[in-house]
Amino acid sequence: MAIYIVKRIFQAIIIILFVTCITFVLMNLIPGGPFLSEKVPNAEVIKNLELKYGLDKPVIVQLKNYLTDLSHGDMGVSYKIQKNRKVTDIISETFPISLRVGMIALIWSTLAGISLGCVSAYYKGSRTDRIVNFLTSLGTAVPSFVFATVLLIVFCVKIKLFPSIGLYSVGSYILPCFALGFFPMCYITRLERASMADELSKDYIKTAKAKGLEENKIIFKHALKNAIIPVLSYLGPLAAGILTGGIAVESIFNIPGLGKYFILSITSRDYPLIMGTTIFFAAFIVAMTLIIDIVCAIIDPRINFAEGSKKAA
Amino acid sequence: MKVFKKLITLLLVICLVFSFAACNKTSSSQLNLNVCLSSEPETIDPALNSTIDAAVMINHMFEGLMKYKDDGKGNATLITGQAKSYSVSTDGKVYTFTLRDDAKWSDGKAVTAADFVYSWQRLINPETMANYGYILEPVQNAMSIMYGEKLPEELGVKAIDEKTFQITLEEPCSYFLDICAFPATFPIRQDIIAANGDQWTFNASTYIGNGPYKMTKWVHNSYIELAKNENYYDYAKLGPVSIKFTLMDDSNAMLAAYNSGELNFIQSVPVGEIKTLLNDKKLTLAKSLSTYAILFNNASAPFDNAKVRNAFLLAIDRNYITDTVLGTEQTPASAFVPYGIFDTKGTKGKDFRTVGGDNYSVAAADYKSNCDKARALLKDAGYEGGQGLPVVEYMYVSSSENKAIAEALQNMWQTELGVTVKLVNQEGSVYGESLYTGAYQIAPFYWAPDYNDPISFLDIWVTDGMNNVAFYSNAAYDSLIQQVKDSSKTSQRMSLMHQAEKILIDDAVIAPVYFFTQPYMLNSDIKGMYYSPMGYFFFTYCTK
Repeated sequence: MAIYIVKRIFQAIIIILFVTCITFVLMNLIPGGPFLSEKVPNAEVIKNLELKYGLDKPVIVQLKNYLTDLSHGDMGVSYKIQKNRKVTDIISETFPISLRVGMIALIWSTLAGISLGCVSAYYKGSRTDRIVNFLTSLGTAVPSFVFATVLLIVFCVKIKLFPSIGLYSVGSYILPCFALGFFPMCYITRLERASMADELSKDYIKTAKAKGLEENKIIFKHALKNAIIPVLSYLGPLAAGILTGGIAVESIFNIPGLGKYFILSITSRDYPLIMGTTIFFAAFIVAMTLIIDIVCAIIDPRINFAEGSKKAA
Repeated sequence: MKVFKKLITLLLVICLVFSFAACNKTSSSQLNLNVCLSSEPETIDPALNSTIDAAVMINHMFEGLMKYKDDGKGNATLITGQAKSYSVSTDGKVYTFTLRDDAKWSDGKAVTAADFVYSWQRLINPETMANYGYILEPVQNAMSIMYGEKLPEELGVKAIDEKTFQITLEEPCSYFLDICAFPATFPIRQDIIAANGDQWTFNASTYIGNGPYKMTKWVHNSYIELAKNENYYDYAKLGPVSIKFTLMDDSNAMLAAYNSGELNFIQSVPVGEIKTLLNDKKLTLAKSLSTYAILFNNASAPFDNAKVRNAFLLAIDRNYITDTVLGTEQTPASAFVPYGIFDTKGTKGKDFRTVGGDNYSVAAADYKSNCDKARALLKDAGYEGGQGLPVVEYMYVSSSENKAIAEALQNMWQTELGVTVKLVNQEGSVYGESLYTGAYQIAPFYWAPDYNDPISFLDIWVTDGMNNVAFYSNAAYDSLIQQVKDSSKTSQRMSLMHQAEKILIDDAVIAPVYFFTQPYMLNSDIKGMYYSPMGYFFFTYCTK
């Protein structure tokens, strides 16, 4: 197993390096630049800006310089969005906020999704199942910014139950976490329902029932173990997406998280910030996938590391 | 009994004292203002800033030689700020400012003439990379320093003594005092920049200003909090105990926070809500000095032909755009310089637009005849009924407003002129590049002036001008603008500028569409906010 993990980490580094290079080149290929605004600075100013940030050099040299700096943990400074602030400072300041909100959203949506999915599968075809089905279809269809705006207007403006700006109290976490976790919850419910229903119709469950095992034990001990695999594989990318911040939710509830920088850095051509957020996200998604793969292997004995380690040897 | 009486007296006195204390509590000194202008500012370094929203923040934390004060009706008027007095030489070229004795930085140090010398040299130094260096254009040697031909030390400014700051201009400049109240010209501290470099703005302890308020906290993407600056000379009269600039980017969320009482002031609301808010009298529309216009690429066919440009200019139904598409009481533009820009008599007389009059009729009733003229012009140019004219591209940055205007214009030009217009939307940073490299045919363009003088609108269009994105070139126009710059007599300047504007519109270099208004919402119980049509809101003396 250790060999497998080492191998995967090695792979991850290659992937991230690859993402870095591709992003760097693509970013320089798209038209537009960071220093153009409505009132364009004079040529002397632009020349000095390019000199300061090393943009006067060919892209390949810039890439080499970037990789050298990156290997020392230096991601440069933002050109535009937060002029002259270190990219690492921006990420390390905003990410924990997104992580906090995202973690709560992830936990509640996973727990609720799996439970609802199980209930729905167990009572397949019943009224409960139909209601859950209807609600989760709705939940997966409504875009998160619509859902968040509705929550904001109902609970902050009309009922005034929660504050609408920022995260200054425990109560202010409720709406954003709920809004952020709603779509994944619905999606997980549907995934879990399908795979659980499939599982419940299998022979070993019939055997267990025939043996007279308790229903609870059958579902939660035997069936769930197998039925949870599809949800787990969805959790990897989901976690990466949700923990690094939902753009719509962060913007509507004014949460100072990382989410908005993914889009904003690109639209304003803030090159170091584009690189910083992309590398961070890539690393995160690779790490999440690795963790999930390991967890899957622990739960599901059909997956083993032996084959991988043999090849590695 | 005597004891009882004494006790009662004592009790009454205590009551009296407490009631005074209570009075104090509800008075203005307890106002904690929460304002939302926009999202996180790019920078709050006065010299590097180029946005109006950040300028509003900077106006509260720094002060220039001149400043704006409330005229009693909520309008900002220019008075001396850090300077207690100034004198102008008879030839109008030398300004000598005497600084206030009690002008101090928020850390208690005195503001000196040397601070101004440093700040102005820093602003113009190309190495500072300030977008607004050109604001110092009237100052001796400024332009040659900006283009790297001279050294920043050669700028026409000097500290005669600790409290006397002298500026020498290239030519007399009638709006020079306005420039002295422009945020880029505010003083900053050399020792702070030397010690902290470009990181000085991020920390409350190094963000030392000389304005009425000082920054106490900046939580990125959340808020910037200001407290009264106890070293400010007018400290006793300041309004809010604290001013919090909440940083948000979603207008739905801003309105929600305003409605729930968390924000006291907002300046952008969702487009769909405007009508309701106006009807409920919750939204106020202030004057603005900005113009929305359509740019033509004067350097490439078919818009190198003034007749074609004029036809497009005349076929715009401006009333439809202001009333139906936008609906926030914008004024249809009959020329480029908006209402509110001063003419010969400044604040006291008619403004430049009123004196200049309409260059074409914007009355709704005249739209039909305008279109007839437009068709005739197009015929003259050889494109009768749009025949032979290639498909023209209208390029814009995707925002809901720009898009709605683009679609309305497309419809007008297609039905009235018989031309085919294709809409192309672009991202902001690409759009800027397309404009400045001339990779467009028609595009919207809006202009906010830096000071209240028509020249801020007119000197854009000189041949090879920095912002001449219409690529217009006309020797007669250039010569008029040069004469304006060389002239010191206001009446002569104004008359020259009227001539220049007439050429600009007769040539249809651009097609003005409307003059902006500035919407905002402020709690009705808050008084004392004042506003400059340049876009600056002042909360310094707000009370509740």
